[in-house]
Amino acid sequence: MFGIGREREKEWAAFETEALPLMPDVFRVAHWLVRDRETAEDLTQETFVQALKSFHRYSPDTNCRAWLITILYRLNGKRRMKLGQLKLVEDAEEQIAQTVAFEPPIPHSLSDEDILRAIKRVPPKFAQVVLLTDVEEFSYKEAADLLQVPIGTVMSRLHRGRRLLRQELTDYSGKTRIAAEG
Amino acid sequence: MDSYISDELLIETNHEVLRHLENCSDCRDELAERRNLKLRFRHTVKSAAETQLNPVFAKHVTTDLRDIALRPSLWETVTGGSDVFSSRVMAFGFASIIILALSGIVWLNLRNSPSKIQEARQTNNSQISDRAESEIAHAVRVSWNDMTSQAVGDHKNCAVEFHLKENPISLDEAAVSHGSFNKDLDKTVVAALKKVFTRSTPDGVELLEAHSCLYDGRRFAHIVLRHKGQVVSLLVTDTDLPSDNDDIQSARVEGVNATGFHVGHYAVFVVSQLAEAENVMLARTIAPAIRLHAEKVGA
Repeated sequence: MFGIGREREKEWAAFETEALPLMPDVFRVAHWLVRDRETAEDLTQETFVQALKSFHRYSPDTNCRAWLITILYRLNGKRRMKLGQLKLVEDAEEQIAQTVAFEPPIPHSLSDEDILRAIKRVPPKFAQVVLLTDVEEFSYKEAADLLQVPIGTVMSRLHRGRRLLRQELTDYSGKTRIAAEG
Repeated sequence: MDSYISDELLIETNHEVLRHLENCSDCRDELAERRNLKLRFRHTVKSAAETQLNPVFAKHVTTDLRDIALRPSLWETVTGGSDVFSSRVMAFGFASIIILALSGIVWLNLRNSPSKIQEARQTNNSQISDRAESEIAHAVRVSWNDMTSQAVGDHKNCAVEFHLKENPISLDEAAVSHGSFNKDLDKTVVAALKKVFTRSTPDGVELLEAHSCLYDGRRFAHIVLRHKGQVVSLLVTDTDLPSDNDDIQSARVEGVNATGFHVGHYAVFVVSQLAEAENVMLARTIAPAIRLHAEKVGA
C-alpha cells in the first residue's frame, strides 16, 4: 500500500507542477466561453478534476495548456447539451459578413472598456476564434481541434471576427464622440 | 493578411508578403494598425479584472484537488467510482494480492528446500536491479524529451523567429569558448548533404545560417538550412546522457518534428516542419559525417 501512496504523490507533484499553474488561463478561457464568473468557476473546477482523473493519459512532452482547454471545451459542450443549448442557431455567417462590407478605420483613442465592450458584442462564434488565436495564441490547427471545425472555418471566422471587432470599436467610438460633442 | 498577422503563412508566402510590403505603404500602414489592435486586444483581455481568477477560489480548488489526489475514499477505491487513481489503485491492489499469493507459494517451496534460498536471493537482487535500470531508463527518456523540447524551442525562437535573449556567436568563437566540436561543423554538414541533395534540384538543401546560440540555458551549435521550402534546424548540444545505441529517435513536439541521435557526448537534432520521414532522412544523411567530425576533433 505504501507504493500506491508514493505513486499518488508522484502524480500529484507532476499535476501540481504542470497543470495547476495554468488555472488562470483556463479560467480566462472559460469566462469568455460562458461570460459568467460563477459558471466559469464551475467549469474551471470541473476541468481540473477531470484533468486530474486523466492525468496518467497526459504525455509530459505535449502542450498541457491545450490539453486542459480541450477538456474545458468538451465539458462546456456537455453542459450546453444538458441545457439544450446545442441547437444550431443559423446566425447567418454570410449575412453578418455582409453587414461589414468594408474595413472600418481603427479609432485611435480606445480605452480598455471600449475593447471589452466591443468583443462582447461580437457574436460568440466569431469572438471565440479571435480570443483563441489572438489572445490565447493558439495556432489555427489547435483552434480548429478545440472547436471541432475545419481549419478553413477557423480562418474565415477569424477574418470575420476581427472585422466585426473593428466595426464594433468604430461604432462605439463614433457614438461616444457624438455624445461628447452633443 | 490575417494569416500573416497570425504567423500562419508558409515561409515562402511570408517572404512574398514582405516583398510586397516593402513597396506598398498602404498595406504597411494597414498591417501596423491591425498588429497594434491585436496586441492591444490581447493585453486588455488578459489583464481585464473580470477574467482574473479569484485567488480564494484557486486555493479552494487546489485544496480539493489535493484531497482527491492523495486521499481517495476506500469505498470509491473498491467500487472504482470517481476516484482519481481508482483504476491504477485497483490494478495495483490486484497485483499486490497476486504478488502476496505468489510470495506465499515461494515461501512454502523455500521452506521445503533450503538450497533454493540462495537462488531466490539472486532473483530478488536481479529484480531490484531490473527496477533500478528501468528507473534510470525512464529518467534518461525524460531528460532526452526535455532536451528535444529545448531543441524545438531553439528552432522556433532562433531559426523561425528571432526571439533569443542573447545574441548568437559564430561557430569559430564557440569553438574557442565551448569546444572544438563547433569548428567547421557547418562545412561538415553541408558537404554531407550536398552529396545527396543538390541546390539546383527541387529537393536541394541551402545553408541559411550557422552559429552557436543559447536557448533555455542550453547551448546549441545551430545550422539553419532550407529544404523543400521549409526552414530546417540542425542543432548539436552537449549531453551527459548515456547512449548505448545509435538509434535515431523522432518525436512530434509543438507542431514540428524533431529527430535526434547521439554522437559521443553530443546530442544532435534535426527540427523542422517537414514530414517525419524526411527529417529522419536528413538525420541519416548527416549522422556518419558528424561522427567522423567528432572523431577528427577528438570530441
